[in-house]
Order: sequence, then C-alpha cells, then structure tokens
Amino acid sequence: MIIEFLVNAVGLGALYALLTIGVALLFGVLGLMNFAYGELILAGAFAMYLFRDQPWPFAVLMAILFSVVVAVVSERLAFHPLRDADPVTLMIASFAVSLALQSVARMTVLPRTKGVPPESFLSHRIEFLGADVSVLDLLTLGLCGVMLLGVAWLMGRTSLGIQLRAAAEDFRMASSLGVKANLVIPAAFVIVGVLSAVGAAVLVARQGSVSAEMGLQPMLIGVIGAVLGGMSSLKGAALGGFLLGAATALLESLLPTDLIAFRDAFLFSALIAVLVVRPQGLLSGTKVRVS
Amino acid sequence: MKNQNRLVAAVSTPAILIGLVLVVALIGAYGDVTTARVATLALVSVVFVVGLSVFSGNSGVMSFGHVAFMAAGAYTTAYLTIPVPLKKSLFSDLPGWLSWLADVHTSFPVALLAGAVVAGVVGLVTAPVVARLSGLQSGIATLAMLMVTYNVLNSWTEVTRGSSSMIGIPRGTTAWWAFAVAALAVVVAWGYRCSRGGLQLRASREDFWAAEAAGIAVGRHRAIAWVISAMLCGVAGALYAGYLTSFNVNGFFLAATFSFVVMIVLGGYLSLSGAVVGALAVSALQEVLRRFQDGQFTGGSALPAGVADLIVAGVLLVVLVKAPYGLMGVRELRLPGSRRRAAEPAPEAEREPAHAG
Amino acid sequence: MVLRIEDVHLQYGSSVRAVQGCSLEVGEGELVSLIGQNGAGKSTLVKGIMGEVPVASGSITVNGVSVSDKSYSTIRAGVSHVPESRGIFASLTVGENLRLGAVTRKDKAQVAADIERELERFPVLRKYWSRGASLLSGGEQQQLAIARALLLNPKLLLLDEPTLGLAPIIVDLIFDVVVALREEGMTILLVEQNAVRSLEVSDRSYVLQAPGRVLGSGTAAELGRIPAVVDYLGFSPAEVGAPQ
Repeated sequence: MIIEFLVNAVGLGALYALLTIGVALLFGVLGLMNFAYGELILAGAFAMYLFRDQPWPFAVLMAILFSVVVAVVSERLAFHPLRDADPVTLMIASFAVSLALQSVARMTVLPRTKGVPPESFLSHRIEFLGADVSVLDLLTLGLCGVMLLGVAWLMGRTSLGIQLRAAAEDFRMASSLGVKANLVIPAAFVIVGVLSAVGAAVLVARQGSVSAEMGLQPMLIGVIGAVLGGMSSLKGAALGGFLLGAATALLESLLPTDLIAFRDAFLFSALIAVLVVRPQGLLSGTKVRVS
Repeated sequence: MKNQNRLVAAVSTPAILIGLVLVVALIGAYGDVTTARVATLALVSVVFVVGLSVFSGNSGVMSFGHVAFMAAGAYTTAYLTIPVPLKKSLFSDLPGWLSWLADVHTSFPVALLAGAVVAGVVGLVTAPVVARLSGLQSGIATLAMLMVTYNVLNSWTEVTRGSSSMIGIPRGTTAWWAFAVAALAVVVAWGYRCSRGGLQLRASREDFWAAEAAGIAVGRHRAIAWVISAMLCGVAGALYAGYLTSFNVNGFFLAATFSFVVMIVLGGYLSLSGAVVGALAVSALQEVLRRFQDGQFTGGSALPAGVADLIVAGVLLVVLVKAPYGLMGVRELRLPGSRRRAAEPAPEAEREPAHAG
Repeated sequence: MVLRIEDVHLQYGSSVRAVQGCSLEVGEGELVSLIGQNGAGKSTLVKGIMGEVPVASGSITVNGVSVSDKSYSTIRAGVSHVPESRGIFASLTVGENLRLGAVTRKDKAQVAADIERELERFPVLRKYWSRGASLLSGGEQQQLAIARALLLNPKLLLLDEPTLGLAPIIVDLIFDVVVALREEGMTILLVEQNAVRSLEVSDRSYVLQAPGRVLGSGTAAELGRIPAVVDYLGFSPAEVGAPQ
C-alpha cells in the first residue's frame, strides 16, 4: 500500500517536474511565460491519437517530432519577431499562439474529444518491491525520471547546457561572450518540444483521450510549479513541480470528495499568496541561486 | 478664449467617444434582430473594455482577471432578477445561510447597481494583491484570480448551478440601456483619467520607482483604479446577463478574457479612445468572421469551427509585432483643430512608456 | 592601430550627449589607460566601442571595422570586454564560467591548453574550479572575469574599472596581472579611476574630462607638461614615472 502510493506520488511528482521545466526553461532564456505550452503537449497528444494503432514507442517518437516541429515553428513565426518585447507582451502573444493552435486542432481532427484506447501492456499490474503496482504508474515514474536525468545531464554537462543557463541568467552578458541567440533560443524550444511530447505520451496514457482543450491543465501545472519553485532557476522550478505533484497525489487521497472540486481554487490562491509574499519562489534562497 | 479652448479640449474626447457609441446604439435600436444583437453586445464590450482600461491604461499593468468581475455582475443580476418561483426551483439546495437569495427580487436598474457594488467588493478584496505587483507577476496573479473564480463558480453547484446554464433572466438590457451605461463608463473613465489620482498613476506608468520617490503612493492609486475598473466591469456583466437572459460559467473564462485582451491591445491599451475603438472594431470583426465561418461569403459552404478564432489570433499577433501600442497608441480622438492647442497643457503631453517596446 | 577613435560624439536617446569629440588610439601591443573622474564619459566611450551606444558623428574602428556597421560584432572584431560589473554568472560554477569564455572557439584542443594557462596565472580559480561562482569574493570574481575574457584570445582586451571596490592587496594583484599581460604582447585599453596606478603601468594615457573630451594624452612625463591635466588630476603625472 505504501509502496503503491509512493510510486504514484513520486511518478506524479516527476511528471509535474517535467511540465514545470518546460515553462521555466523558456521563461529563463527569453522571459516568455508560455501559455502556448499546453498546445505543444496537444501536438504530441495529437500524434499519439494519430498513430494509436502503431507500436507505442513509434507513436512516442512521432509525438516528439510533432511537438518539436510545432515548438520551432511557433518560435519562428510568433516569438522571433517579438524577441525584444517586454514579458507581458510576450505572454499576450503566447495567448494568441495558444488559441491559434487550439483552433487548428478543432478545425481539423479534434472538434470533440477522441478516445485513445490504452495500450494493453499499460493496464497490467505487476509485483514491484513486494507491492502490487500498475504498469502505468511505473511507466510514468520511469519515463519522466529518465527525462529529468536527461535534462539534468544536458544542462549540467554539455556546452549547450552551460550556454542556456548563462543566457537564462544574463542574456546580454552571455551574448557579449559569443553565446548566440539564434542557437540557444531555438534549442530551448526544441528541448521544450521534447519534454512536452513525453508529457503528452504519459498524459494520454493516463487519460485515455485527446481533446483540443487538454493542454490547459498541464500548462497551468507548469506555471504554478514554476512560480512556487522560483522562476530563476531550473532546479528550483523542477523541485517546485515535483512537490506540487507529490502534494496533489497526497491531497487527492486525503481530501474529502466535496473539497477536491475546489482544489484549483486552493492552488491558485496559494499561487497568488506566493507571488505577493515571496515573489522569488518558495524554494529559492534570496541570494544564492541553486541552478 | 483660452479657457474656452481648454474646456473644448477637455470634453472633446469623451464627446466624440459618446457620439461613436451613440451611432452604434442607433444601429442597434433600428437595425434588424441580428444587427441589434451585435450592436448591443458590442456596447457591452465597450463598457467592459473601458472598465479594464481604467486600470490597465492608467497603471500600464495588464490584467487577465477582469472577466471575474464581469461574472460577479452577471451572477448578481441573475440572483436579483430571475422571478422568485423559477429561482426556487433552480436553487433548491441553497445552503441555509444563503437561503435569502431565493426570495430577493429587484428591478433591472437596481440589479445593474448591485452588480457594480458586488464586483466592487470583489475588487476591494483583491486590490491589495494588484497594489503590490507589477508586470508579469501581476499578469500571472490576475490570471490566477480568474482561475479561482472560475473554479468556485464551476464547482459550487448548489449556489451557482455549476456547469449548468443560468436561465430565466428577464430581458432588461436594451440598446438604449447599453448606450446609457457605455456613455456613463466613458465619462467615469475620462474623469478618473483627468483626476489628480489618475494623473499620478499615469506618471508611475513610465517609471514606477521615480513616481514612488516623488511621493506618489502608487500602490494606493492602483488599488483605487482597480476598484473603479472592477465596478464598471461588473456593470458590463449585469448588462450581459440582462441581454442574453441566460449564460454559462464557461462564458467567463479564457475565451472571453482573450477576446477582451484582443480588443484592448488592438485599440491601444494606453488610450481611452483605443479601448472604445478596439471594442467596437473587434466586435465588428468577430461578427464578420462568424458569418465568414458560417459560409455567408463562400456560397453557403460552412468552414470548420475555429477559423474565426484562428484569424483573430493571427490579427493579434500582427498587431503585437507591428504596433504594440495598438491603433491609437497614446493618442486620443479629438476634434480637428483642438489638438494642437490641447497639446499645450501638461496632462495631454504623454509619451509611450520607455521601458516597453 | 587596433582601436582608432576619431572625433566621436556619442549620445543616449535624443538629448544627452555624454561624449563630445573624443579622439583616441591604441596600437598593437600597447597598454593604454583612460583616466578621468566619475561622469567624465569613460563608460559611455566603452559602450561606444562595444557598439551599444550609437555613434552620432565621427568614427570608432576596431581593426579597421567600424562599429557603426550593421555586421559589427565585438566578438568578431576580437574585442574581449571585462565589464565593470564583471558579468560573472552566479548560477554557474567557476569552471563553467571559464568554459563559456571559449564558447565561440573551434580549436577545442587549444582551448584546453589555454584554460590550463589561465589556471596557472590565477591559481585560485583552479582551487575553486567546481564551486559556484557566487561564492567567490570580489577579487576572485575579477580574476575569473579576466581569465574568461582572455580565453577568447582577444586582439584587444578592454578592462573596465577592474579594481573598483577591491582591497588594496587585490588591486596590486590585478595591476601585476595587467603588467604581465602587456609583457606577453597583449593590447590593452584600461579604463580606471585609479589614476596613479594606471599612469605607472601604462605606455600612454588619455585624461578624459566631461563630456568625454580628451584633456591631454601621452606618456606620464608628457602629461606632466600639460598644466590643464596637472590641474585636473591634482598631481603631476611626471612624478609617478613610466613603467619599469
């Protein structure tokens, strides 16, 4: 029972951390609070629907392709011309991109929710550390965990990662050292595309359906997690997302049913409180940054 | 002579805007059913966007949460004007402390006022938050307010009917009511703009810290503008409910927010004329696009739902890139000739904020 | 000439002219210092060289390329700038900050050797290699900033107030490094408020007075013969002597 709950809670935490990093990375590098993030997830989910009859790994690969292409194209068309704009203008622009992508989805294949039959292997339950755990929960944990490790490796060990982190901290200084905006910004969008595709694969498997509005919830999770963790560092944001996920799993098993409906109201009130009282985030220190 | 010119300059902008609104009201009063509907809802949008611009235009801080005030006005109107017998069956499970809601009943004008008051109270409660935040943080916080409101309205089923529509509101709003309220909103917004507080708030728009250092209590002025703007948006909600006679909680969420953001950005969020022009222009655009999508211009073959939204999103992106301060920038509509003379007094001489761009 | 500034006027926005008619040259292998009080226009001139402030009239060329050209980039022109604020990335480690200095270079093998060279020069950086850069003291951060700038293999090293706010013993260390770099043949423009030390180490100096006008230039001895300069500085540059 404990093991089962832990796998569930840690898995959800890893998923939320993944979603949060997607929001925090773009915010750090170009000051973009990306409300179109949900539609990048939608693009991946759309691929999961389209290739639902193909082997699951192939569908995931196609999801990555779809999300990355949509991410890069949206950067090119919408955010590139606004590179010097202030964050609020960028946020409004991302609203527009979000609506545009949702409209395209609605116009083509998703005027209404479509079911994606769950892969049969996902509904199995197996014995894990002496507990009875669903493959879906294990997969969430495994896939998101691997992605998080991948991001940690990329950001910490590669030249691109160092450049991305430098650009996120001080774009001007980074470019005066020769860090190219035309490299790091598209690279950030590609990474976010990959993250949202993996997020989409997990979400589709958990929900069993795809709809034009499905990006809203994960996008909001990313925003809340990023604000809670402190937008200034990826580690803080990831930790914020992880705790949010774990807390959600805990709340859902503890809260009485008639209060679960108001979960979002509690979360967003907490978000406002954090913005007012500790704008640098709950988890980041005032001086030392943890990135 | 000079004083007279100043007076003309001071009233010329609201006079032109009210004239513009009057033209729309006349179209609404004498047009066919569809035209009347479009014109009246356009006037409701004018009230809302003018209300939003009292806060955003003067403070320079964008809000994504004002639709919550509109919802407050709409729900208030529903509670106050739905006939009591119908209300008793709609709200059979009201919690005890709210059971009086089923019995109250007022006329539509009183409901309009009540809508403003209730929205104003919501504004008062949330004002400390906006008084302390700027820029992106304020953007996120106001959006979070909308999320809280939506979640409560959507989940508190016994009181708000949740995701079921609110029905049976008597039709109180006419084109003339909408006109009267829109004209009043323009006067209130212009009056606030020219008031001492409005001037001080606009001074803070260019440089927050310089304004604070000059002794302007920016937070307090923001809070005042926020509450006035909340009340106007509350009235807009009351008009909306009184016109449509039924509404759904989903009408007060992201789609509506986006639509109003398009209006204020397209018109130019720093200018009152921009708010009015933007609301009217985007209302017209949306109606044209709706007809286009329904196939009225393409020989009857309907286009897939979503085309109109896609075009509106595209228009917004183009405006953001090409003219970030919208059609009007910081200019106001004036009578020809009064412009040069009006440029002389300090309040009229404004620049676009230096930091943005 | 590595850097040539001719009768340049620089202005912010539409009104303030911070530099009016400045002329200055830095030749290959020279250590030239730019001295003057706060507000003399030193930092505006630096921004002009970086292409960050538009040139209203006159010209600034680095290795023959005008900074007004659209294609101008300080990196490609070979200018390495150590800003007054040092520009250390607090969220990166010392090693990562250093590696960032060579991000544009393709000769990866040589980069490793150059990093080793800088670690020899600044042993404290080797000691703290994997530590967060935010934990370094001001003087250590300045050494890191200079080391990072050198990894670009610059044709011109632009040091902007490198000793500002540092303890005297660290100031000595920084000036020793500047002298050593000149010995190695590096071309350096040193912008300093510390006039005495700058005159001591420099081949030539320019004394700047607001708004960005050159009051006098030359070796310390030559400057000592210009009454306006002696008056402005409050001491005779001739007394501090030339390098060595």
